[in-house]
Amino acid sequence: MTSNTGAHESRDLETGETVHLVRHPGSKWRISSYDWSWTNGLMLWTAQVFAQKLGWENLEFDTPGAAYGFVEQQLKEGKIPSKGTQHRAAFAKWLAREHLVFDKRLTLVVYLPGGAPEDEVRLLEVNTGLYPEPGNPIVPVETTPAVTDLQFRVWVADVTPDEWDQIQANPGLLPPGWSLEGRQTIRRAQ
Amino acid sequence: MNARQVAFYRQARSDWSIFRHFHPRGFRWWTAVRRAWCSVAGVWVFSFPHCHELHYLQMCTEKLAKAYYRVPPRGHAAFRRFLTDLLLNPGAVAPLGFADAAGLTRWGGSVRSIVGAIEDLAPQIADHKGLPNPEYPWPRGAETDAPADHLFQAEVYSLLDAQARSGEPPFLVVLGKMVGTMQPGGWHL
Repeated sequence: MTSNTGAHESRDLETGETVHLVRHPGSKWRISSYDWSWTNGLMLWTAQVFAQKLGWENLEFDTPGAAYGFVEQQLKEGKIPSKGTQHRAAFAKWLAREHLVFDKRLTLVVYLPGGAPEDEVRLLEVNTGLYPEPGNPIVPVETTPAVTDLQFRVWVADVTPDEWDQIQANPGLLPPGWSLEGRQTIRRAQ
Repeated sequence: MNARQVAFYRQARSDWSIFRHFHPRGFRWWTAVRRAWCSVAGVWVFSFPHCHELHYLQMCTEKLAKAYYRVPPRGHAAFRRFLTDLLLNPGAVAPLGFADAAGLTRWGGSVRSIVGAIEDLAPQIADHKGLPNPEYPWPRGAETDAPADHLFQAEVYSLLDAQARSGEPPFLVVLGKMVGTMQPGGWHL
């Protein structure tokens, strides 16, 4: 539905992001950006993600609700940055570094946010001390610490260096639902 | 704990009791006293090769690690994975006798090499690394060395002794608390 008058509209999502829409005269609704804020000590920080950055600049929606629903779905599927993923990424990297410090057999840890639910951290750990029997599948293990206020469930899959090489060539070897999309590699501090 | 976890936990406790039969608390002191007394009395000292207690120690730790998780880690390399995650589990701090999480973390740093050494005792891992194991003669395919003839001093006992002198709680004492409290303390996953 188009209108001869322009308009702006914003909505706060339950996940903490605010989505901003725009409707130019004679056009349908478009997403202009979304953002979220957080405090760190006395500082207030805001992150803003523009539609152009995501290739959404030409997406049009008949109603604001459809546009908000689209953003919510993208957030839910972990396809775009979010308030949750920001904290999740920081937690995942911290956890990866802790694992690298304790277990010298780990050569690197790969954080895999692609396709993961908002409350899930997925780590792939390349382990030189792993000798799985032939045909032994790559099965992630839930390692969530028993902390009541932890926001995330943590899943870790150990793989051999050879398996990691194979996975990079064929991501289909990952556990079901896991993806290399958006992966972040954490290495041992020198 | 699910049924699989309970089964692994029960077996780990059983393995631990066998290990403690071979290696009771105050083992070094008791062994020295017994040997001295037996030599005076002219009695032959009955003892077992170290491989047997280490076999049960390795099995206990692997099963304890597999009892910790709802789904077990892959293969035999479970104990290091378990200790890595244990250090981030505040629920384990008090049952294992630590005053705070920092204490558990410090202890974790003191046992890193022991944890690796015990995990490497699993025959499959030891074979890959060219290390002795407490269960089967080695090297695989051309066996010439028997576990019963090996002292495992460099591989395990020197590490246990060094850690026990580090000022941190001795590894075997805390391992015993793990075996005793994982299920009743509810700090498993």
